[in-house]
Amino acid sequence: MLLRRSLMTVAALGTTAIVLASCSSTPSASSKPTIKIGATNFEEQEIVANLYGDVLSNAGYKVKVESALGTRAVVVPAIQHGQIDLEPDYAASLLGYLHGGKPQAAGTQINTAIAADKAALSSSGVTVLSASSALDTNVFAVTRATAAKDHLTTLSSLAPYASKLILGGPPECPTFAGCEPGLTSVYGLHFASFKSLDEAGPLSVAALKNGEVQVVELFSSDGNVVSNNFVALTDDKHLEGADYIVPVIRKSVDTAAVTAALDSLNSKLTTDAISQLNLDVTANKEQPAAVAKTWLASVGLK
Amino acid sequence: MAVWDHFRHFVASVASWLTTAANWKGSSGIPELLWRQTELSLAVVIGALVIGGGIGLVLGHTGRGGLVAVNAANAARAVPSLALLTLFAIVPWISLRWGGFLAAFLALVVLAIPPILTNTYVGMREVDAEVRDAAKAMGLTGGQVLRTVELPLATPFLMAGVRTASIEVVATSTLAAYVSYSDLGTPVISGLNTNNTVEAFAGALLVALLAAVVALGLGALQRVLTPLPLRRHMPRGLGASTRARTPALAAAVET
Amino acid sequence: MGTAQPFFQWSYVTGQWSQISSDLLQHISLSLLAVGMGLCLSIPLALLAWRYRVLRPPVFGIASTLYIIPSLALFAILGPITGYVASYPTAEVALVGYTLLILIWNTVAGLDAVPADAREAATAMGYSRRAALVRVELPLALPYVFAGLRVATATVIGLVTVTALIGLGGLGQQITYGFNIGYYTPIIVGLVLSVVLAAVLDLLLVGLQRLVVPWSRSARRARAV
Repeated sequence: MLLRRSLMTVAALGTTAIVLASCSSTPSASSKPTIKIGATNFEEQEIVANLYGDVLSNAGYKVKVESALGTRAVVVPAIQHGQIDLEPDYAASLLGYLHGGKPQAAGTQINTAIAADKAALSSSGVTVLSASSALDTNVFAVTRATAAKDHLTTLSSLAPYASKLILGGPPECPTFAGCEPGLTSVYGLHFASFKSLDEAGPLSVAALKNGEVQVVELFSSDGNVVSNNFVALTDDKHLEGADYIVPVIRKSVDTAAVTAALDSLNSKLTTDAISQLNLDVTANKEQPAAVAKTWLASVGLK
Repeated sequence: MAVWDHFRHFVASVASWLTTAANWKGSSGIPELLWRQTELSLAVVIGALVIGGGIGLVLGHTGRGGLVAVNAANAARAVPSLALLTLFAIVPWISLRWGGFLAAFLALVVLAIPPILTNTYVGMREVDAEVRDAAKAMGLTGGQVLRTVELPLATPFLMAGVRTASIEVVATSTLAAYVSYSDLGTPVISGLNTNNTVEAFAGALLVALLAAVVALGLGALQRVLTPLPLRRHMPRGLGASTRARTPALAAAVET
Repeated sequence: MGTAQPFFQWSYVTGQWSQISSDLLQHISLSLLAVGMGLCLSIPLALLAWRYRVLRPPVFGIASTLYIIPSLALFAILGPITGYVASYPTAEVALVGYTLLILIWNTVAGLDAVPADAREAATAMGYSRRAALVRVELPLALPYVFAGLRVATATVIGLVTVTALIGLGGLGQQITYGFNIGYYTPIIVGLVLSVVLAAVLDLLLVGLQRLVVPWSRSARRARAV
């Protein structure tokens, strides 16, 4: 009798657990045409997703922004399967991802990159719209003092000094084509050693500042370069691809009005603009959605 | 059959990664990463032994304050180590110090103290009151009772705590790679970041191997250090530990 | 880091409450599923291991292996099979695997601890082996099971945060967000809510235990904790 009671309680607990679990992951079966915008874990993606959402709702569409979905490996299959309708991505890195993670020659130039992306995604009913002017790619930064001392402006200019410098970057830098292996193969740079830090975050900035590393991988648009007065060395041999921010959208959702709304962003969304927005989020701890709204108002798109 | 081919190809890729000479050389080579993880774990366990074991011994000897300590230790179990690691990693005076070692060390010590403290305290309390009384009746001082009577009898519990703590520390130190302390977690995280399943899997295998070696090794050490008369009651194997007399103690002690 | 910030900004909590509560909900669902499934798996396995001693080495061996392998490594090992980005199956298999050793061990210990008198009395009263198990031995083993359940729940809640590294995370999302931008508050939010969640679930379990195992009240005096 007692055992039956306890077994029933356990069963009840179990059922509650399952119910709670399924409640928190209910698929949205909406009959209204809401545009679902997805974004990965990076704050810049969340900002741009909100920008897309705001211009589209200004154009009269219902939108839902779902951020922090994980990485590209989640978001791209999601859009291919129709779980989301729109996501901001980077033309060259997307192309590399669509080809098994290998950087593609077409990725070095924005037009060929977008064309190749469209070709690769077409069969899943997805297309790519025009690029904005915001470039977010890997950059390798040095402090202003280092740049002045060794007259560094481009990555090529690092060649004579590399063997005495320590490179810092994310854990995958030694094996990732766009990081250390690329620097070696394209620019012939052999660094003294490598220090694993974080994903171009606070540890990377701190390590460059305190001299633990002399060259560090950052992102061109995250504002850390500007706010810390670093110098981002120019990628004169085009190791990094044309990673301009592009809208990746399901063809079924892409009407003329939608395209027009998203295109209106393009000229205004420059690298400097997105850098400042990123800074607002990372340094000033403001929220991506709020930052997006304020900026849109300031450039007259709202 | 495509699945089987896929599987064979994957296994071959992993084997190839593990046998590539380049992966064994240099400052991000496997031996170096293994050494760094071992070094960190060792330092943490020693630190936790000194702090947690010390507190547990004192509380267990005097018999006071143990309830609070053990309950606090249980509460500390639920603190996510990822939170501690990241928090310490970004606090300015700790961040990046000693190449990320200090942040990881502090976070892991917090993780390691509860099992050691709980087990030491319980072990000390499990000593029969009569045995203690007999020792005092024989004229032994408090310190001598501690050293010659309580400590040897509490050793099985203490060792169980050290073993539990060590396994948790070795496992969690894998995460230190996320906050810039390179170790065997680095290939795992790097692989997860770049969708390189082969690198992630190979790194994971190495980590699992290290954890197994530590668990088995400490199990053997535990048997060696337990006074002979008590050894009869020790079950063997990976899940081995000593048995405590009440259910809650069992749970507190076994894990 | 970088700009000076107060240790904790309450405005973040109020402003971001919908995101925080969504993360909390995901955390709860991941945790409860893991513990629930762990319990469902471990009781039958424990019964088998208890009844047939020869099964103890393999059962404990597998459970120990799953316990020892770090969760992150387990994600990477399961990934090729169950998917490793935002994959509930991968996360759950790893989390459930972690609970097995604790739960099986405690259940077996509880069954072993049933006094011989109780067993003899059951036989004397004419209970079949199965009836004795269900009506006498399992109920008497319940305090041990609950103790194991409490530890398993607390540790699973901590482990769920690691699933953030494969795109899930629950409160781990707060932690990685804070780390990405060097912001203390979200990390502290993740930490505190995890501990609070563990405390609440622990209290619920204690309450459940009192309901289901009322005789353990007198035994409590004998316990040190």
